[in-house]
Amino acid sequence: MSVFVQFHLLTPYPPSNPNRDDQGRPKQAMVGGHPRLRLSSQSIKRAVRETAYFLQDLAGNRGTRTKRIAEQIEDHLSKQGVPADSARSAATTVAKVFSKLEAENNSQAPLTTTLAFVSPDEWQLAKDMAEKIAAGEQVDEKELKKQVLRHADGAVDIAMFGRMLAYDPNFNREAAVQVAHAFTTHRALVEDDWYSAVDDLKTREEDAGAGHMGETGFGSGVYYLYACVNVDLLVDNLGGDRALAAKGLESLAKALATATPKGKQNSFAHHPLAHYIRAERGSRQPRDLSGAFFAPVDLRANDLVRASITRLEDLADQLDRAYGAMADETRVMNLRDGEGSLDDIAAFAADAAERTTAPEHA
Amino acid sequence: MPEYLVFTLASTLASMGDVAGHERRGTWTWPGRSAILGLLAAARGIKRDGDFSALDALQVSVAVFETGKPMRDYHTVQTIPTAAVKRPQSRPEALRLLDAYELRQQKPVHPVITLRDYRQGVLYGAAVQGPALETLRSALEHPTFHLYLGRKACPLSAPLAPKIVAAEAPEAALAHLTLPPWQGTAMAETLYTEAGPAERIETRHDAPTDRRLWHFSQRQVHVRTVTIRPEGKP
Repeated sequence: MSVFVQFHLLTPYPPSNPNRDDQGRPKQAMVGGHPRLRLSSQSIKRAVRETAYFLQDLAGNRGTRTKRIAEQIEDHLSKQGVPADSARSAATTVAKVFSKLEAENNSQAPLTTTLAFVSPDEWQLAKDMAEKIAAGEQVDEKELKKQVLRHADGAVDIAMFGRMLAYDPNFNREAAVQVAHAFTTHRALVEDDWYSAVDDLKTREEDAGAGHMGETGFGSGVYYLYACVNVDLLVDNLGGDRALAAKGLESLAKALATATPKGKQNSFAHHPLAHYIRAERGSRQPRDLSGAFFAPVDLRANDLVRASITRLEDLADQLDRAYGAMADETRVMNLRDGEGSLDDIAAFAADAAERTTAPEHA
Repeated sequence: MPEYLVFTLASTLASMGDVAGHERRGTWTWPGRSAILGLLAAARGIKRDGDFSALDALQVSVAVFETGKPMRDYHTVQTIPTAAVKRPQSRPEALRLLDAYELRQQKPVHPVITLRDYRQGVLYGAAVQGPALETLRSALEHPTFHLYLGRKACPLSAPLAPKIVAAEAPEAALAHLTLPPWQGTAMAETLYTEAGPAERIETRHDAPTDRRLWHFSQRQVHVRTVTIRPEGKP
């Protein structure tokens, strides 16, 4: 049994193209047999990781995804006054723990062949071990892996979104946050913008035609976004640090409400904010509320946001009545009715970290 | 009469493992044995490298109410070959250098595109027979890990409403399902089981054998036509 925090958000997007398919057009989906616009879960997670809530508020508790592990360690050793050749060999020995290395290039330390997601704790341990090796200590390769790689530590983004270490699945991290693809609550089709651009130096007399012609897809609508946090797993991934998990939950709540995938942002200037958030806390089986929009909200509704809010709350009530309460507690932020605030939602989410049972941790 | 644990599987987006490992990730039209066992394991809190032996004894039947419409998504992964760009300072610089390289070489370096198939708007009923059904039922009510259909981005859209019922056959047990309110009148016409009468037998590679190496062995699936109209109120 785990504690889950579920987020349901309704966010209106202006004409925009935040997440593109292989043709450069907005991604789409069919829900309940009706066409919708869609944002992929990957694009949303990337946008969330790029917010100030993650970059600044969680500074020092974020992982780094990089191939330049040996180089970083070598720099560290050089600054400690370790001679160049032993710094290089100690750095490559330790970097091999994360991934295979590319062929050595004399001027620079070798890159790892794959991107590794490295936590702050692992950086520190890697540097410590490299110092010992440079000082002449003999270390067994298998032993080294255990000394450096961690099953759990203080990297919030790795704990939330998981990692895969291709060369040592034992140290993969299972994602504690599930993010669904967002889709519009109503029928929405991609529209085409046909445009032309003018050549400033061409005269009318010479040729009155356009200098360039093109076409771009866009769309607009109210998106339903669902995310679910397994709080027990989050705390576990963070080595039992509840305070850090709480800080992470707070950042996640704020990021989900304000982050947007950045495709064509300069062309469309979309900066949408969630108008409605329903956060739920409890240990019953999580479920999204996408069924509320299986039959799409009628486009003739005067107010798509309000109609979507009504549908979503109605379905949540129906499910509670039919199956028994699906969550222990619920908090709502509803812009339209002036109810609740994002700070309130964030505090409600963060509080869940205190409600998990004590994790056993080595 | 044997007892069955029956539950509903509904989701807006689902992906049920076809042979994978390369750039194309396909999906079956119904969740197989490995999908159901994986869901039960997640509910019980059995980790990927954990002990699944308690689940291996279960018999699994799946009734298909709605296979959903296909959707194909893709991810791009822009790889930057070291032959093209040597030790860039940052990703933006790497992409800039890659542009220059492409101009010099007069040929583009294509990003790797991975295709992922999904089914949109699926609805199935599962009937599980075997030991310790009550433990599984309560785990589905209060799971340890996320439950999803195929990928983590594919959450369930309705309560599983798990219940234990005594019945002669899985189709009779599945008549006790609770369907989501917006699909209350759905009917299943196809049942995939592991035993009993069959109109045809299909082979599917979805019996997990080695979970660390991701090996699956083939299994005979008994397919029969049924009429299941659950009227189960929760």
